[in-house]
Formats: sequence, structure tokens, C-alpha cells
Amino acid sequence: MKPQDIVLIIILTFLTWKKNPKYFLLSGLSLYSLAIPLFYFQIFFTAERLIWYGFLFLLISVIIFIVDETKG
Amino acid sequence: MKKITYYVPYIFFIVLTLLAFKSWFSPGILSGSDLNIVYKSSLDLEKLYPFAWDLKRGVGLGEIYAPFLWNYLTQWFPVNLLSGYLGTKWTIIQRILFFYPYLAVALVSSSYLAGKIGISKKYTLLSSGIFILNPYVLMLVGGGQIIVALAYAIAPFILWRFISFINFINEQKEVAAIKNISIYVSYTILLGIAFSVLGLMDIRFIFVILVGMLLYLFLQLILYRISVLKISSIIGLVLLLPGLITVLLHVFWLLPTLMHGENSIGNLGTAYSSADAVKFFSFARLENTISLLHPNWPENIFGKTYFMRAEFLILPILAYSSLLFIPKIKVQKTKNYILFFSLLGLIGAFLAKGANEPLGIIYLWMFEHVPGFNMFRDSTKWYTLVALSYSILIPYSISKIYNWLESKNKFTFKSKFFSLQNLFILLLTSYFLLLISPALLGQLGGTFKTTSVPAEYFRLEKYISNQSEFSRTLWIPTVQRFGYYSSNHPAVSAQDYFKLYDQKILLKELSKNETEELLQHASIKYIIVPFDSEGEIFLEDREYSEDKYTEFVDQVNEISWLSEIEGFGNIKVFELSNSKDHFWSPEEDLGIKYEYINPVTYKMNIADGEKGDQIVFAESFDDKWVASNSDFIIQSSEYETGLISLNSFTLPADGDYELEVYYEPQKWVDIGVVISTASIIIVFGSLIYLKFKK
Repeated sequence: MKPQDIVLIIILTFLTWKKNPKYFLLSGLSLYSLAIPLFYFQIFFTAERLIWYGFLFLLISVIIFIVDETKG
Repeated sequence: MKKITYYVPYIFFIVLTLLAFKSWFSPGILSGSDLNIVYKSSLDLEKLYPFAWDLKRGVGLGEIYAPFLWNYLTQWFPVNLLSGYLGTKWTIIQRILFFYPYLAVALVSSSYLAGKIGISKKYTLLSSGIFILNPYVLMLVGGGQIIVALAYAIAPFILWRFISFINFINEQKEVAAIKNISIYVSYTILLGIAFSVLGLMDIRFIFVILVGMLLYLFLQLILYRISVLKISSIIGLVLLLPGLITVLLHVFWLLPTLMHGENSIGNLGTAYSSADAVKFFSFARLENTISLLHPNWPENIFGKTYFMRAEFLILPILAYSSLLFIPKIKVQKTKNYILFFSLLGLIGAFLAKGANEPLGIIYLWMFEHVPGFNMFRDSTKWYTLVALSYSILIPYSISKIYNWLESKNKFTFKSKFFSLQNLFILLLTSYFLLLISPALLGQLGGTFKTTSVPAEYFRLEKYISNQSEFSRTLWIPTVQRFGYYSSNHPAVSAQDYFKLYDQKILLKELSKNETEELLQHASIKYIIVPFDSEGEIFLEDREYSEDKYTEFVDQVNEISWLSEIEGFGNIKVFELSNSKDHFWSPEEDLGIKYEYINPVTYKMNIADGEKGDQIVFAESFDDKWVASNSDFIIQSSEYETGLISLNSFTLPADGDYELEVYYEPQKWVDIGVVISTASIIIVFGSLIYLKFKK
């Protein structure tokens, strides 16, 4: 496991504790924004990790939004 | 009267479209790696009717065609009709049958879906733009997969038919309370027809759209907390009846395929059906798929992928920003649509990356275990879901951001035009133009450039098509996209026939003396080294190499049992003497005369036949071929050649007699055609009846 994974898993744990879909969404979008310069400068490993985790954050965000809707 | 500024976006959009697709509106042939030229002489005029066997397929040695007949109505029927009977030129046929309908349907279909979902009118143009000008579909049509592109084009319309059907059922309090049964039947029939049309273009797209449909259904069931009974009823109502209509309309190819009883994809070998093949064809990575960026963009060279283009990552940021507005959306339906299209985009991106990480194992598992999923060796078809999703989400986000900027008075300049929201639109427009600049600047290849067929290819076509006797041509190393072939003169790709993809090893195999007999037995009369006018066969570091071509020709010239026929310029044509006919026998005294009736029927006269004599039918072996007359039936047995086995019939009696050689699955095609035709009449008759009843 690389340091990038550890940092992103910590963020994931924190967001899971918060259970707020908006936080997941903003984190996902931020990771994609961060990936742009990394891809541009060809730092592929970290950029790819950001894409993977960003995808996961967006997916969780959508799922929580859906769950919230069923409750509402 | 509307202000002139109202029309500016429309004019801008039309100019962009014309610029990107300018070759489609210019004279000349459109050709791509998956779009060969169709010579008039290569058409089978009898092919206005579907046949279960195709002499041109199966590496040029014939193959069951029933599993592929689904594209007969959209492809071969109209091409045969226009070219064979009306004499229309191929340059016109390809445009009016495929390219223009694609453009028209994709534009209308995508803006129709966006409009129905609730995207405001001025942003539906953006939906269409994203749908027809994204790298995935530009690479698809550029490569010449225009029938697949037609299925892609119609997908938004079909998805909306389904969504509206679910909404209609959902609005009923109880399933049993659907009082106006005629509305329900109309919905069902229209959905069934829509599915059928999609299947006629590309059967895989039924699966792609089905994923979208099931997802929407699933979300509706969760969000509206519907009872199990209603769930079952809805699934029955919305899937089974349209499904039944689809099956009935497609029975003309489904029935013979099922009755043939063999896995058509499995028969193609592990190169098509193994997990390794999926891994090999998984070119796109998650960063590509989530950004709607085709891995071969922009050169579209098979297997040549590029570093990730960072600028494309703004697309998913724009798309999923639409979720930021979820809490403020007051209309529940709109909220559901945004959630649905977000999930659709994510699922599409995950599937489109195929076996690549993360969790590529899921795709491999589905490929091996989910029925129908083995058709998705090339996972890029799933990009369609991402394109559908982003064509809704991005315009939605942009419209909301625009409105937000407009509502913030403190940001607004006093000028009517130089406002922050207009600056935002200007920036976005520049960004989109940058993304698709290779298309606008004419840097894309394939069908985005018109081409002309070298004269020697026409000379070769004339030379071979004028010969009435059956024979095959062997193209080494492979058939060039302008190479001539027909049912009477199928083209065999040497690299596929020998299963040798290294050109040096292939030449070595060809030089062997025993190869001469092998080729003679397969009715191969001409060996052809193509003129690689498109620079896609003789390559060195992915670039055309004249030296490689010359060296190749020199080595073929050294083969002692070949003699060159002059007069074809850069195409090198060699004749193989004593090539066998379509029907031949190892017994020299046996007299065989035959007549070709159609691809599945031949009449044959036997003279001086002796019991036990063998007749070889030089088509790839399939035990469903039978030779019969009123006295006996002979089933085909395998005639081994060392490579692709041929058919053979062992005579059961002495004497002179007639035989009919027939491919049995054709009878299932015939039955299927009757059922499908009757179903079409009933389905359309019912629709007309219901319309007048209203």
C-alpha cells in the first residue's frame, strides 16, 4: 500500500463517519481537479489513484443521495 | 419576431457539425478500417432474401451466417436493393443509407431525450453536441463502424420510450388500475419495435440499453417503495411483452441459430471468447472512460493508446457537479433523473474500462458467467452509457451554474453582453472547441477524409469478376480494404487462414511445397499481395514501410509453384495452376457437374459414380450440409486438410444421378421469416388499429 492510498483511505473513513453525500461529492470532484495537473505533468501513478478514489467517492455520494431520497 | 441572437447558437452548432463531418458532404469514397468498399459485382442479388450460410465469411471458406442475420435488414437488404437493382453508386449509397441517417437520428434522438428529461431548449443543442462530437463516437464512425453508430444514435430515443413507460405505470395507483388498456398496449408495442430496430443494427446495444433500463427500474422501485407484487407485475409488463415482440420480430435469425445448437462466438476460437481476449481488448482505463475519452483518440490506430489528456477530466467534473444542485431541486422527477444519469455514467465508465483495474475481475467474471456478456469482448461499447449520461448531466450543470451566476447581482457587470455568466459560456465554448479541435481541424482519419480507390483495384475487380467459375483468392498477408471479393470469388486472408500473424513465418509456411496442394484443395486460384495504399498492412513501428512491401513481394516471387500475372500495378497477382473446383473428388473417373442456385443450395449431377466415392465440397466443414435425392440422404463428413476442414459426401450407390446439396438450417430461416413477417403485420396492424380507435 502506497502513502497515497493511506491518505485517501483516511479521507474515506472520515467521510464515511460523516455520511454526508455532499462531502463525498465535493471530495470526489476535488480529487478529479487534483488529478488534472498530475496527468499534465505525467505523474501517472498518483493521478490514477486519485481517479480511482474519486470514482468511489462519487459512487458513494450518489448512493447516499438515493438512500436519503427513500427516507425523505 | 425572434431576435437574431436567438439563432446564433443554432448557426454555430450547424457550422461546427459541418466542419467536423465535412468529408461526409464532399464527393469521394468514405472508408475506414471497418468499412470496406462494396463493388457492384460483389453483391449477391439473391440476397434480398436472408440465407443461413455466407460463402464470404469464415476466413473466406464459408460459415454459418444465421447468428449474424440480424443486420441483414439494415445493411445487406438496402445495399443490394440500391446497388444491385437500381445501380446507385457506392459513394451515394453509403451516405444516404448510413452516414446521413446516423447524423440525423443522433441529433434528433439526443435532443429529444434531453428535452423530455427537462433540459431547457437552449441547452438541448449542447446535449446533441456532446452526444455526436465526443471522442468515443467520433472514433467509432471514423473507423467505419457506422451500423454500430446507428444503434448508438437511436439509443437515447429508446431509453426515453422505456423511461416514459415506467413513469406511466408508476403513475397508476395499482397495476390492475391501468384502465386504458390501449395506452398500455401502445407503449408495449412501441417499446418492442424500438428494441427490435436496435437489435437489427447491433444486437449488443439491446444489452447496453437494457442495463440503463434495469437501473432506472431499480431506482424507481427503491424511490417509490413499491410492493413485491407490483414489482413483479411491472417487470412482467415492461420487459416480458416488449421482449416477446422483439423475439418474434427477430425469430428469422434466432430460430436457426438456436436450432444449429452451437455457440457461434465460441466457434470463432479463443481469440474471441477467452478472458485473455478481453484483457487484450481492454484498452481504455478508468481515467479515459470517466472522461469520455476514447483511448485511441485522435489517430484511431488499433492498439495505439496515448497518455491521458488531462483537459478531458473537466468533463466528469462538470457532469457530476449536477449532484450539487440535488438538495435544491423541487421536482421529484428531475431529482430522480439526475440521480439516475449520474449512476448510469459511473456504471458505464466502470464497464467501459473492461478488465483494467480497479476491480477488472468483475468484468471478467461477468464475461464468463452472465448470459450475453460474452458479446462484449471489446468493452468500449459501454461508453454509450457515459455519453448518454453526460449528454444530460453536463447541460444540466451548465444551465444551473449559468443561472446561479446570473442570480448573483454582485458579480454582474452592467453591460448586457459582458457579464460573468456570458464569460462562463465563452470559456466553456472555447474549452469544448479545444477538446474536439482534431475533428474541426481535419486531423481525424478514416471516414473523416474522403479517399479514392487506386485504379489497379478496379482492374483486379474486373479481371476476377468476369470469371464465371468459382475460385478463391488468397491475400497475403491479409485482404486490403479495397480488395475484391464475392460469393463466387471469396477472399481468404492468409494470416487468418494459417493463423500466423508474423509475416516472415507466414511466408515460410507459404513457401513449403505441401502448401500448394492445401491451397488447390481449398479452390484457391490466385495469390495476391495487396497494394497497401492506406498504409495499414506493411508496417514498421506503425508506419508504412515500402521496403517491407518490396521484400515481401520478392520472397513471394521466389515460390516456384506460383506464376505472376502482369498488369495490376502495385497489386501483385500470382496464379496457382490446377486449383480444384468448388465440388471435386479425389477419384479421377468421377464426373461432377454442379449448378449454384443460392448460398445454401446446389444442384449436382454425378456421372459414373461408384459406391464409396468421395465428393469434396470446398466450404468449411459443417455437418448440417446434406446431399440428397429421392432415394437417399448423405450427411456431410469432415475432410481433413491440416488446416480448416472441408465438407465431403460419400456416395452410397453406383451410377449416374442427381443430388441436391442443401444447408439444413435454412429451413429454420424460412420458418422464421414467415413468423417474423406475420409478427410485423400484426404489430403494425395493432398500432394502426389503436391509433384509429382513439
